[in-house]
Amino acid sequence: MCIKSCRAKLQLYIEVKSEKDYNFMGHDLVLNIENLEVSFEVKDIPYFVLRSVNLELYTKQKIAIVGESGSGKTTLANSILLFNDKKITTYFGNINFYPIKKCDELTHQVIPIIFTEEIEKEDRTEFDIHTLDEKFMSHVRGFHISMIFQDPFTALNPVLRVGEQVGEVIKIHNQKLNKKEIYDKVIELFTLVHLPEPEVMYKKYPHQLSGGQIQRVCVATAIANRPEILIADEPTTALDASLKESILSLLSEMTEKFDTSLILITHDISIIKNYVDYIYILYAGEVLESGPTKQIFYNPLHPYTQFLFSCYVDKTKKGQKLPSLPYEIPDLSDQDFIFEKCIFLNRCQKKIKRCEEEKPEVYSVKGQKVKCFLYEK
Amino acid sequence: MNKFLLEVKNIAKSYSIYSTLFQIEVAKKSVLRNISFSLDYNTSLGILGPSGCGKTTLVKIISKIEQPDSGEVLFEGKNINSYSKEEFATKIQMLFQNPYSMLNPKLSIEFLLKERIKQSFVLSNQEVNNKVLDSKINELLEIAMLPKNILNMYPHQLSGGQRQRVAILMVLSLYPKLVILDEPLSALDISLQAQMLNFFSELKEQFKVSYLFITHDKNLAEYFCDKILNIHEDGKYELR
Repeated sequence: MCIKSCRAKLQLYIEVKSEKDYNFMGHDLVLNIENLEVSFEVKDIPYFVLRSVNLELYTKQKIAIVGESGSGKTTLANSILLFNDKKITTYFGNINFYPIKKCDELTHQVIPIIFTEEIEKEDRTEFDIHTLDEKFMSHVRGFHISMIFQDPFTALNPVLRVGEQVGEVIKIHNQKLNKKEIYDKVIELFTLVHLPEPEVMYKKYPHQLSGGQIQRVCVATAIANRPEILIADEPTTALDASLKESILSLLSEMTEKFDTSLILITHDISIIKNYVDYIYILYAGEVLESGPTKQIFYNPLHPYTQFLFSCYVDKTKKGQKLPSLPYEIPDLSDQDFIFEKCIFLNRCQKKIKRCEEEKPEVYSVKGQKVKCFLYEK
Repeated sequence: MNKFLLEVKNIAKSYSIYSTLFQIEVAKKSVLRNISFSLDYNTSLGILGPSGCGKTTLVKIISKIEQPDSGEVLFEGKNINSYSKEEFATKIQMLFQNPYSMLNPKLSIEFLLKERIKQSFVLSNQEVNNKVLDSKINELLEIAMLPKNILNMYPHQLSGGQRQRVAILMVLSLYPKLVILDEPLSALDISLQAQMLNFFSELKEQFKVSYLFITHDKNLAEYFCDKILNIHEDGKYELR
């Protein structure tokens, strides 16, 4: 009885707290993905890698996309920047981007000095990223939307000094700056990302830096032009566990300092608790659950999210067998399965007969969105 | 039978730092400072510590990849240097963080497993034929809950968890008494991590294997290990 009442109180607390905390509606929308479908055609067989993905990102908001290997996290990030192979990729749906920084649409040149001027709210226009040509996209990449890649060791050119590589990114988007100004900006960036002795670091080659230092250089490169959106694709996977926290807090610090929105892609849900505001749980190309971080952590709704949390170990579980589900990502070319049935059907332990007959819709439950029949009102 | 499976006595190790020009020794970096601990039969010891504290150096010394500056390592009461190479292979085996480093990309899984099983038979002076090999492979696949069709596949065609399982099967096919796990779960998804932990626990019961489990994750060490050796950056350590 006591536990029940405590749980009820906790529930109430979470709901009230999360409503107060989650107030991104007051901010402006920078990215709105509507019904995105991405398919790859390999040897004449279409693979439907992402299906009906909806995602909203506001200024200063930090979101996380969480999922296992093969769930489509990186494909989603690549779709935002059109990095997927054009020859085999087909897109449906919209990726609407609302730039805040000024730029000339026709000449692809930045008109005002960057870092300062913003477009007035009423003058903002919407771009569907998929309609933009490659020339414009090259302007968007690095200036409006930046990306940090999974493996920092392959992200940098091994034969160029790290300082020059960061300077190059600034130079491309700011043709008017001279060498001295660029050098000063790089040193300023290295100081911001807490690299020791920035002047010495400028002259070093990637192999002379540690994994954490290289990832800090990558963060400096990504924020060099103060983009509206920063996409971090598993920024901590290739690093030691002791460095993970420091890189995540650095990302969090940088996004707060520059009012940048963050999309953090990860397979490790445990490390993001203190760093993001909103979580999307992705499974085999579909968003199964989304909601404010605290609610997802304290009250996971979808059986898949519950399973992910139950896999975490600590000393209280010592001696117990951990829950395990067969590791099977569904065949993404099997249209009868992926469009007609619940995508989590094969691994779900709470499945009902209806899951095999039709696909669940997205149901709203107290601020969380969940794709499961168990929550149909 | 000796009281302890493994005894590490006052191990110290330092590396020389050379100048870029002329390769002159400019300094010595002390990595391990008189570390001593022991490991019982059928137990698991977690080794925790930040990067660069000497965890990998310690297990390299235990597995005879490197020699210590001072101190000795006893396995079942005998100094590890007194074992021949072949004998030692059946005593201690190591599973690396990246299973790719253990699997030859040009060879099929069947070939890789067969070679290891043949090696174990040769080491124990037993005769081996194809029938025995096949039954042994089937037995191993059952232990690891792997489908038979993976035998015809190559390492790059397997998922991360499957690769890690094949790697541990290669380690187990020699029936070692001690398995050193060097961050075996850090590259895996959370659901696969749970599966692998269950798998390691089952093997511990079934084959009476002891583990040295290197990890950064305190929660993981506390869940899986019976004892924890915490090495600090300054070389100090504590065993609990």
